Amino acid sequence: MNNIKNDTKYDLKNCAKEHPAVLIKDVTYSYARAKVAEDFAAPKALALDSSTTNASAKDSSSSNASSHDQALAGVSLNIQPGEFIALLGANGSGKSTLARHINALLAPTTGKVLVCGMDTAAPELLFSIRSCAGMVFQNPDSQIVAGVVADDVAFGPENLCVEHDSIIARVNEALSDVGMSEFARREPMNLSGGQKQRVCIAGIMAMQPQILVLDEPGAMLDQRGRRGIRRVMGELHAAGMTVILITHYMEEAALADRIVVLERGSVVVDGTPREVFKSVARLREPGLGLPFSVLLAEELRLRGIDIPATVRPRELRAHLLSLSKEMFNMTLRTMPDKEFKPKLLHQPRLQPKAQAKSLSQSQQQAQPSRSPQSLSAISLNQVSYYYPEQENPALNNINLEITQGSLTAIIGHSGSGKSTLMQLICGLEQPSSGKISILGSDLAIKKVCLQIHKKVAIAFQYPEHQLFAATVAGDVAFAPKNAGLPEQQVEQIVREALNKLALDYDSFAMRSPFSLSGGEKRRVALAGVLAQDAEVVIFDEPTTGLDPQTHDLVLQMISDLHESGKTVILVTHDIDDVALLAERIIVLSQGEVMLDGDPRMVFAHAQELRDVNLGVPQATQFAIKLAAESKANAEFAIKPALNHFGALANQIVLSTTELANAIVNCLGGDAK
Amino acid sequence: MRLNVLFCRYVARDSAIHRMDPRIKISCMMAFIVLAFVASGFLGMAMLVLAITLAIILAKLKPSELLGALAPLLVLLAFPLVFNILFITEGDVLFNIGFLTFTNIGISRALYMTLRLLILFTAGSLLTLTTTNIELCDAVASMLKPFTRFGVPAYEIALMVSIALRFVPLLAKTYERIYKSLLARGANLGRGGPIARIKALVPVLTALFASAFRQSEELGIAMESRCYNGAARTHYRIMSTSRRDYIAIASMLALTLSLIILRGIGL
Repeated sequence: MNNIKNDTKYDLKNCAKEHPAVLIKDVTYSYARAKVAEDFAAPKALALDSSTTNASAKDSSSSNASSHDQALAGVSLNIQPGEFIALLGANGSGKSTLARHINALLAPTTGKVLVCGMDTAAPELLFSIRSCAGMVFQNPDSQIVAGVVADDVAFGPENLCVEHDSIIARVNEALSDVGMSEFARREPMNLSGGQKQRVCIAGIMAMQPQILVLDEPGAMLDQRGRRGIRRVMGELHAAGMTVILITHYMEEAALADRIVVLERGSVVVDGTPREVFKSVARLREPGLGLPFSVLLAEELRLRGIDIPATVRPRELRAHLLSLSKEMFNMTLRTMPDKEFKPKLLHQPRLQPKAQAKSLSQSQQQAQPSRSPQSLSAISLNQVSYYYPEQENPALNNINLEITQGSLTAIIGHSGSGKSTLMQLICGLEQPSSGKISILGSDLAIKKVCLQIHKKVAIAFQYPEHQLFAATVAGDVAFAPKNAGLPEQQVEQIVREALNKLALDYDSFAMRSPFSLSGGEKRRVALAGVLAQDAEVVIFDEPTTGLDPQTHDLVLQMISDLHESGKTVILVTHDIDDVALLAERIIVLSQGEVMLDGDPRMVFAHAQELRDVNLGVPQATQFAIKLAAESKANAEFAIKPALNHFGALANQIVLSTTELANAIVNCLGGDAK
Repeated sequence: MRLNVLFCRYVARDSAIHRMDPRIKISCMMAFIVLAFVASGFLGMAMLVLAITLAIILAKLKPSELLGALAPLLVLLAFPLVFNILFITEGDVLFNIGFLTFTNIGISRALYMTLRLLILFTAGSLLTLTTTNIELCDAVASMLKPFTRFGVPAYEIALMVSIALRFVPLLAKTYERIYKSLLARGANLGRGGPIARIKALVPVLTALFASAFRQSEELGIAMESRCYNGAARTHYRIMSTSRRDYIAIASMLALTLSLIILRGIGL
C-alpha cells in the first residue's frame, strides 16, 4: 500500500519523506466540552497550549466525559503519502469530525494529530497544515466565496500571500486540473452542482496541497456530477495526491486503496476494499453497504458459480468471461447438474415491483397496464408552465394520468422541469395553461387549491432544512394541528408517524430537532410529511446524503406507504432506487415527457437516457456490458458458441438477483 | 413571494465598464448619485438619463438583466410618488379625486423625485451588475485604507458586506423553499388578519434563521480551512487605473460642470 511516487506532481516537497501523510494517535474529541471551552470557528481557539488541553481533559474524563458525548473516542490511524482512503460510517459516526482534525479546524481533546509531521495543536503551523491538507465540503454553495469562478479559486492562494503572478498560474493550473478552464470567467451561481463542486476542488488545488480531504463531495450531486468528481479524484490520486474521501456510496469506496469504517467515534474496520467487502456479515456494520459487484458475486456463489469476490464491476465481468471460456473448453465441469435453487443468506428486503419480462414483451406494453376501474389520482391536461423572463417553457404541454395507489418515479436531469411539475401538483404554483385535477377536483378552483394539502403531501429535497419547532413532536404535529384535530388524536398520529421512521416516540418526542444527527433530522422531517396523512405523497430526493442503513429504512417506508394504498410519487437521481421501487417511470427532458412506461421499457432505452445525462441501474448496465464484451470475445475467437452471455442483450434486468439468475441461465443452459 | 434572484447579482461580461478600476467605478457612481440631486429642470435630467443609458450600453447589459436587478427596488418608487402628490398643495389645482388634490407642482415634483430615485437605483445596479463582490471589496478596502489608522477593519467590513450580498439570492431561494413546504403542510400563510399573518410567519422565519446560521457557519469553516484569517493577503486582481478610467473621470467632470452651469443659468 506504500506507493510513494517520487517523480509525481504532488510529491511531498515540504514534508520529510519519513513522515506519514497523516498520523492520528489516540485522538478523542468531545463537542460538548469544546463548545464551552473554545469557539472552534476561531483560529485562536487552537492556540491553546496542548499540554493544558491534555491536562484539563484528563481531569474531566474521569468525572463526566463518558464515551457517549465523544464524537471521537480514541482514533488511531496512519495514512501513507499517496494513499487513497475511503472513510465510511453511519450519519453521526464521527467521520466529519475526524476530517476536520486533519485540516486543523479542530484540535483533539486528547491525543495527537500530525499532518506531514506537523502537530495540529501548534498554532504557528495552522496555515502550513491547512495548505498541506486541503478540504472540500459537502455543499458547494456554502464554500464559494467570490462571484466569479477564477476569483474564487484565487481566494486560498491570496490568503497564503502568494505573489500575484504565481496566483494567476496556480488558478489556471487548478482549473485545468478539474477540467473547468473554460468556466474561469463565469459566475458560480449559473453552474451545475457538479461544476460548482469541481470549482471548490480547484480552490483547494490552487493552495497546492499534498493531501485532499473530501467530505461527501457527491452527496448533493446527480449521477453525472458524481462521475465528474470521481474522475477528478482518480486523476489527482494517480498524480500522487493523498486522497481521503468520506462517502456513503460503496461504489466510490470500492475505488479506494483502503477503507476505514468509523462507528460511534472509533475505527471498527480498516482494510482493503477486497478484505472489507469479502463477507456479507459486514452488512451489519453501521454505515456499510455492499458495492454492486460484491453483491452480485455473492448471489452467483449462492447459485453455485464459483467466482472470487471482486469490488469492481469490470473485474467481475472479466472473471465471468474467463469462466465462460473455460466452460467452452471443457464443456461439463464445476457446475452442479441439478437446477440452481436461489438460496440467499441475505435476502434483499425489497424486490423490484416490475415482474420479469422479456424486452419484446415489455415493449408491447409501453403503457402501464391499468385496470379500467382504477381511479385517476392526478390528471394533467395540456399543462404548460413559463417562468417570468424566460422564453422556453419549464413544462411544455404535459398530459399525464397517475392512477390511485400507484408508485410512480419521475426522473430527469436538473432543469428538466420535474420540480416545477411537483409544485404544480401540490398547488404551490399555478400552470400558465392547461388543467390539473387531483382526485377528481380541479386545482384551478381556489377553494380546492387552498385545501389541497389535505390530499397531497410533499417532502422537498433536504426536508430537514425546513424544521422549525422547538421539539420533534411539535414539528411532526404541525400538519395535524393545522387541520384542527383534537390533541389526543394528534399525539396518536405523531406517535405512528415517528414509528414508521423507526424513531421511538418516548425518546425523541421532546428533543430539539436541531440537536439530532443528519439522518435522524431527515427521518423527523419525513415523519412530519407522513403525519399529514394525504392520499398522494410526493418525495423529492428523499435519500440523498443518507448512510446505507438509513437509506434502506427510507425506501422501506416508501414501499410500506405504497402497500398501504397511497399514491406515491418519487423524484430522484438514484436510478437503483427507482428500479427497486417504481411500477412506472416518467422521464422528463426539457419540460416534456421523453419516456413513460414500466421500468423495463424505460431502461431498454439506455442510450437515450445517457444522452440526457441519466443512467440505467447498475444491474442493467452490467448486463449490457457483459453481453457486449461476450459478443466481442466470441467474434474475436470466431466461435459463436462462446457467446454465452449474448442472451443478456435481449432482456432488461433490474436487480442483482435477477441478474444473477440470468447469468446462471446463460451459463447453466450451456453447461447442459 | 418569488424574490428576484437577480438582485445584487454580478453579470460576467467583457466590457469597458466591467474592466474599469472598481475604485473609479465606485467614485463615479457616488458622484452620479450626487448629481441626480444637483440636476434640476428637464434638460439636466435628460442629460443624466442620456449619460446612464450610454453607460448601460457600454456595459453590454441586456435590458432584462437591468430590469431584473431593479425590480425589487421599484416598489420604493411608490413612496415619493404618493407622498408628493398627497402632501403638496401649492400650485394650480388640476383636478380632485375625493379628498386628493392634484396640483401641477405636486405632480411635477413627484415625477422628478421618482426619476431621481430611478437614476440612483440604476447607477447602483450598474455598479453591482458589472463589478464582482471581490473587486468591490478590494476597492472599498483600498478606499477606506486611511481609516485603518483609527482601528477601522476596512477589509473585513468590505468582505463581510460583499459575502452578505452574494448570499442574498441563496437566502431568497431558501425562504421560498421553506414557505412552500409549510404551505404544503397546511400552514395558514398569507391569510387572515395582520396578527394572524405575522404569527403564521414565525415558523418560516425560525427555519430561515436556522438555515442562515447553518450556511454561515459552513461558509466560515470553509473560509477558515482555506487559510482566511483577516490578516495580510495578496490579490489575484490588481487594481490599476488605465486610459478608460481617465476618460470616465473626464466625462463625469464634464457632466458635473454642465449641470452646474445649467443650474446657474436657471434652466
